[in-house]
Parts: sequence; structure tokens; C-alpha cells
Amino acid sequence: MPKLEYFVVSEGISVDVLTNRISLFNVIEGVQSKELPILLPQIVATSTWNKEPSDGDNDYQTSLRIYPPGEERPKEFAINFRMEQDRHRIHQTIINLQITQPGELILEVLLNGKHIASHTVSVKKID
Amino acid sequence: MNILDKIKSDDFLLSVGFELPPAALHKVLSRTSECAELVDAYKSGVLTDTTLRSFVQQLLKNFRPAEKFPYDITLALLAVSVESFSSRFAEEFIRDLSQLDLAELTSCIKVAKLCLAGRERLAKNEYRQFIFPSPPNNNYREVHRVPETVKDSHFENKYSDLVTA
Amino acid sequence: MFEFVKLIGSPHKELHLDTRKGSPIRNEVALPPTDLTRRREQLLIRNFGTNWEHRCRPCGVYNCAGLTWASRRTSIPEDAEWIKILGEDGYRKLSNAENPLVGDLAIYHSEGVGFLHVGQVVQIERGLTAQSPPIHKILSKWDSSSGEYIHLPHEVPFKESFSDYRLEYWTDREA
Repeated sequence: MPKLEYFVVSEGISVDVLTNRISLFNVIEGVQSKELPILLPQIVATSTWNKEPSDGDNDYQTSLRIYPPGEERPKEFAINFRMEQDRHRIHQTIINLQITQPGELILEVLLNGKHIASHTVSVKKID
Repeated sequence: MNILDKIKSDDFLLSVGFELPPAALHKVLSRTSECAELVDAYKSGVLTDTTLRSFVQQLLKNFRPAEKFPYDITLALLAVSVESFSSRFAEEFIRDLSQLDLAELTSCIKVAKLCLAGRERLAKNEYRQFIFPSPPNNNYREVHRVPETVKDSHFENKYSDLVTA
Repeated sequence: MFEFVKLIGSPHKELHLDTRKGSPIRNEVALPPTDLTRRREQLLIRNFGTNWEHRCRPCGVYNCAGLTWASRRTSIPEDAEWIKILGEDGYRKLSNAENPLVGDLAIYHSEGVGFLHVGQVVQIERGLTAQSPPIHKILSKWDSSSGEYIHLPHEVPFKESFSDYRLEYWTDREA
């Protein structure tokens, strides 16, 4: 099974075409607003996986589960992939995510249905 | 003398000494100042894909059947220098060179095979986008991100992105 | 990018060569030396080989591994084949307590890179004093374009580019 190197949620990413170097812009740690609901115009969840010797040509599924505060059912986005290279970066961009309540916005990454890591964003309502 | 003239000069070709086994030659070439110079020039855009492509074509005009190619080491050096780049030239040059089976090219094909294997270390990027419909009348409020310098307890910065299972 | 040379070039010529256990050994018969490779060799001699004993003129066909394992008929350039031969032809590394004999192999390698060269022990001379270790002389062909030389174990042309190189003696003799 591939091993997660890192999982980060940011507002944007850039990958240099020539060097393949990645830059993550504005890692999202928390959001605040005077009124709710709010809209997150773009978030990018980047999970980077390292190949393990036993991975071969196997097919894997990684899912991004998003738990907006106050919502019972998570939103889930799945991707199937193979470890063709030693390292595989998956960039999942979510456009127009709506948050209706303060609390914790949790983004969880799973591999073949198993929890691997999560990133928590605090959502605050300010006066 | 510019770097491309340098790596096809007799001085450079003689300096490599002799044909080492492929892994050793790869190492020796990667440690040369010419390799560092090529990497810098390519990274900074002084050398473009078009320049390199035309340079390779020029070199290949010296190819004679049944005769060791005089610029074998030059091609090997070029492969080593662009190995870690994800450009179209790097991809094509290393892949095409590594697939050749020619007696005239003694070392560069084997070095290119190592470079191709080395490129597996480069990360592959996969992009997906999921779009929720825009809310009607766009009556959602502007989002203020928490300033990253704020560290007091007023904001609870739960940032657990590096937690792995 | 290489369409033209693919059309006019010659594919590698390979001989049928197997290990004692019957696994095929990848090899290629090398083309003859060129003016450039001859000049490169002159430079090599000037820089490293003033004490080398010249056995034969530069020629193509075989490299160091081809000299050692293929009777000067072809080159064996890839490390993986060397490992295969050592394993399947019954070679073992000599311990520090054992002295190499004529016919044993001198294998040079470097950490993280692998093999650099293989030569054959062709001569053993007594040390300068009764307590000194014997002096081994190695027969080498540096590459598929060079000549053959007899040299002391550490008079090698890669001693500067791989200053961490290590020399091991291997043999097919039983322990």
C-alpha cells in the first residue's frame, strides 16, 4: 500500500512545469466571518503518496471526505490511481464549498476506505 | 565558449577519461561542472527545449554507421543533466535515447536507461476538480482567513495535516 | 529525435554467452577504437599509467569483463551481468586472511555506484622485506576501446574520480 508523505489543504497550488517542484499557497488553518453561511471559493487538498516495494501495478482508491460543521453526512470525492512513479501527488480542488455553521471543518483522506490522515479547519463566527 | 560548445569540445570529451560501467559513468557525469552549468542554464531558460533539440540534431550529423559516435559522452551528459526535469524535451530525449539499440552509441544509451529509471523518482501529479453549484443570489458573506501570525488562544489553530496513520 | 540514426545505425552484435548455471549473459561486441578514444587513452596513460606495462594495443570487441569472463570475444558492460556471473559461476570473495593467487579476480567498486572495474591477477612478486605482503600485478583493459595493461592494484585511472573505491579479490577456488 502506498504510504502518505503529507496531506495539506490550501487555497491554491502550483507545480513548476520544468522542475516539477510544488508550491502550496495559503495553507488553510481557520476561517472566520461575521455572518454565516459562508462560501469557500476554492480549496485544494493535496495528498502525496510514496510507493512501497509491494505496490506494483495495483489499483488504489483514495477518498477525500469533507465534514462541514453541523452536517451529518460527509461529502466524499474518490479517485483511483496506480503508483506508476515513486511518488504520486493527488490534487483535489473543491470549488464553492458552503459552510453553514461555526465549528470544525474536517477534511479526511482515506486509502481503500481506511482513515490515513485529516486536516481540521476551525470555522469561527466573529462579532 | 558557451556550455553547448564546451560539452562537445575535445577538452571535455578527453576529460572523462574512459568508458566506465553505466552507473559509475552516470555518477562521474553528474559531478562535472559542465553538468551543473547545463542544469543552471536550462532551469533559468538560457537553454530552451528548441535549442537543445537543435543541438542534438547537429551532433547527430556526425553519426557514421559502424563507427563509435564521437559525441557519445556528450549525449550521456545531456541525459544526466535533464534527468530531473519534467519538460517535454527531457521526457522525449531520455525515453527515445534509452530505447535505441545501436552499436555506435556505446555509453549514452545505458546512461539514459539509468536516467529513465531515475525519473521514476519524480512525482506524478494528478488533478481533479469538484464544483458545487454557486449559491443563488450569492448572498454568502466574505470569508476572512485567520491570519497565520495569530497564535493566541482566541483562535484555535487545529492544524493536523501532517498526522499520518 | 533519433529516427535518422535508427535507420542508418547498426544494432549491437551479441554473442551467445551463458553462466555455468545456464543463464544468458547480456553482452555486446564493441566497435573498433577511434581517433578520439586513442587520444583519450594517451591522456590516461600520461595521467595515471606511467608505470603500466603495455600488453597489447588498443582494440575494440571486449571490455574488462569481456577480457575476464568472455575470452576477449565481447564486452559485458552491465553491472547486473557481473553480479550474475559472480553468483552463478561459483565465485567467492577472499577473506582478509587469504592471499590471492594468479587467476583470481581484482574487483573494484565504489559505495553507492557499484562496480568500477574487474581485472585478473597475473603475477605475484615477493614483498620488499620478508614481512611485507606479496605484490600483486593485475591485467586490465580499461574499456572497450583501450589496450591491455599490467599494473599494480592501486595504479588505476579512476582513483581520483572515485577516491573511495575499494578493491576486493574474488576467486573460483574452493574455500
